[in-house]
Amino acid sequence: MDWLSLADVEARVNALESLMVEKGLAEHEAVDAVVASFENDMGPMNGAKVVARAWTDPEYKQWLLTDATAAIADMGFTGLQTEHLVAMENTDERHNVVVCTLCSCYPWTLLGIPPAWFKYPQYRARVVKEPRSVLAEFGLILPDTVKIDVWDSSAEVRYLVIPQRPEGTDGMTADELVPLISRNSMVGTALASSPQGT
Amino acid sequence: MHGPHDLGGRDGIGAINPEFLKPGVPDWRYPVEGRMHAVTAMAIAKGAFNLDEQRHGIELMKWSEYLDSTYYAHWLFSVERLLNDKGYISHEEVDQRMRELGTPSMTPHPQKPEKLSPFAQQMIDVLWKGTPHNLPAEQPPVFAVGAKVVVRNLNEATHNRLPGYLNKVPGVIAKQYGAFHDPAASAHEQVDRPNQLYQVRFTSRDVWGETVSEDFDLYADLFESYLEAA
Repeated sequence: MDWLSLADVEARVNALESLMVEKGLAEHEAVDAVVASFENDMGPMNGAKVVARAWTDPEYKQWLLTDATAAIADMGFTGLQTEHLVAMENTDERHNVVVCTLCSCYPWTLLGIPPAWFKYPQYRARVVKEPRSVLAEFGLILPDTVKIDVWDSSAEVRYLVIPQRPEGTDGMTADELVPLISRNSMVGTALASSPQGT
Repeated sequence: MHGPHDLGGRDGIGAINPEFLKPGVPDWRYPVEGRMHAVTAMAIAKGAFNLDEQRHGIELMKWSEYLDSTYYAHWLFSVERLLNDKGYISHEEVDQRMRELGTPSMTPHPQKPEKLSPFAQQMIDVLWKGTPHNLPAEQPPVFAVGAKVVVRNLNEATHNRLPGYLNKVPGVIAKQYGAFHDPAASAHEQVDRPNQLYQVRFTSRDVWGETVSEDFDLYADLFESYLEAA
């Protein structure tokens, strides 16, 4: 079965979807609807809202750190693959980074679909063994004084990194802070951006 | 099982593809990816198989094919195998339909249909409700927070969620999550059997030995049946 190339996978998935529709296991328009939901309604803009609220509301931040599942439910962000959540905050002493070494487990409602680098073997193999050098490949060089915590999502609990609030953001509202919070900063391969973009 | 997916700590897998690190790469780079994802979710919603069976199916791929294929080829392999083995759609039917349909033309970034069928609405509802995996426990957790544990030397060839790099490693219980459904029982028997779940903390030295690149802590979520008291 020579099926590994992208073109072969496309042809095979196309045939499979066609047969699944015939056998009542799928519907073409429902596939469109699900794809559209993932692409438009699920994504890091949701996680960024959670982080921005944590940055501007100390009580919410405490709630997020002690019971993230309930805290995100409060914002309507519970969903598929985000039923059970733990949130960890980055500090001056600790930097958190998340992986799923066994597959690609990821909090879909908060961060959307995982990026290719998260799903492919290279990151999964190396970040649990040499996290600092893997982060350097992302352009993230941490001071030696910062210790790294690596989180392997090996079961159904999902993980969200709360990046540190950048300098120069005093007085900004949660809505103004959202654009500073990238997807990568919530997985742990980047920091949040400063308002000047540096 | 220590299949091709059991990658933590493996050497020689290579550097992250620099194409993946460019800014602005969409999370679904090709329309086939979203469609494969959606039909998998639908087959699960229709009860053809469950998520643990789907994960285990991927673990049965040939090592070379697992490592060399695009990510959603893994989902295709597993889903097609499950649908074939359970009598829904045979491999031969897929081969035949491929010949009939020729080169596909998949719409990138489809719009949400104006009117949603009941099934489409059901799927959207599942996206926002999720499918929680916790269960009432028959027995209380054996290990308290702070307890010293050691990961058992488990080398079963069947499905579990024990990363092989943690075999025999000592750790400390960081959190009790309560009971979740056991992935092996789900994958192999299609039953919901409770297994207490823990967040366990390890040190990089205990995991990788004294020559490890640096001191860091590593956390993994492990079932009670994978652990014993240290």
